[in-house]
Amino acid sequence: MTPATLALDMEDTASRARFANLLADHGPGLRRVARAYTRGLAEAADLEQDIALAIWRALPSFRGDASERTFVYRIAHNRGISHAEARRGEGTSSPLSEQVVDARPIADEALDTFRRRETLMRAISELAIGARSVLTLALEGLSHEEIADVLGTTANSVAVRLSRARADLRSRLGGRT
Amino acid sequence: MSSQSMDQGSNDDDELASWADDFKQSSKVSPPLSPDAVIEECRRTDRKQNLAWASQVLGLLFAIANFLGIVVHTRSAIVAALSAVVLPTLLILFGWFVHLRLSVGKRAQGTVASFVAWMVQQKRAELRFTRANRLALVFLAIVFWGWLPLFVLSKAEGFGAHPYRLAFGAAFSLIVFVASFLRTSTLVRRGEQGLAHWTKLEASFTDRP
Repeated sequence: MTPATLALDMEDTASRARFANLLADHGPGLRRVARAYTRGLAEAADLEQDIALAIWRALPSFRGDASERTFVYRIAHNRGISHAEARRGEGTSSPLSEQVVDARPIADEALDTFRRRETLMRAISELAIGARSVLTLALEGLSHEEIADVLGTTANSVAVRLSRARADLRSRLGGRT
Repeated sequence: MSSQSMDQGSNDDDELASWADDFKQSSKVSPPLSPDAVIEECRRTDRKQNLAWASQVLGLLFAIANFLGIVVHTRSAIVAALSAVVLPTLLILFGWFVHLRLSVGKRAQGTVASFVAWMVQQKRAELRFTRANRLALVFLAIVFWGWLPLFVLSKAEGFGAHPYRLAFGAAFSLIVFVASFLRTSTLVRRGEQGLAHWTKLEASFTDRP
């Protein structure tokens, strides 16, 4: 093995390790972003994969100008918005039966919790894209400043948008319960 | 701060915390992604995309070279006039492919607002391009149908013996032009709708006073 190929190999190993760490830290968050921009688990899985691909491709050019979390969520939301816009006008939400991946009998309480979560996810996925992006970032626990950094706006604007998004979500959930 | 507004703030925080809890739990129903599988899929996708891109670009370069060859070989005035429209269009298309190839990856990690603004620019450019295609199609149709009678007159003897050839050729050309025009018009309409949606989205990410 020549020094050049050895260096490339080491670089590849380092990139893979970095990517694995990113997925370990932010994987569940990416999955939730994917679900927020899609209408069923199968579609969400495709989008999640697509987001992960985009992160892997962008990783070599990430120089730490923004935090890792900001970097990951920017890519996730950009891909999510593209996906949602491309699928706009296609069909409706998938039936609840598709959402149940584990067919074992579920206790009543667990079923209620499951339904409540599904109702929340579906209500979020029906919000306008601007409201959806700000609300999902807030639910992930990002501060107003971090959300502003992802969206490219100010913290004040985030507060206003978040307030509107919450009111919208509240009214949607109110109409379903 | 009044106790009522403090209660309201506390309720809002509880509500958000409750949603956040349900939201975070909802991701636990599917298995996590494997980094190695993602990287392998990325390589597969890249290979496919590179192949598709290379075939598009090679096809375009082949068309440009062919057209240039026809112009040089025939030295006909009408072919030269046509090439004045076709060759720049093909070259612009080539430039557009290269631009898309180079710019898509760079925008993926920008802020959401800048990404949406960039998408609006892309959609606007695509729409302009589709409209220009439709215009070029109309221009070519006018040139063709203007040239056809002259061609028929110059070959009157041949077509007199086989009139069905002329009828078949004219009908085929008409169908191709009409179908292409309808297809391009549909693309223009879809492009206008897409641009309207992206523009609306851009407005929702722009800070207004």
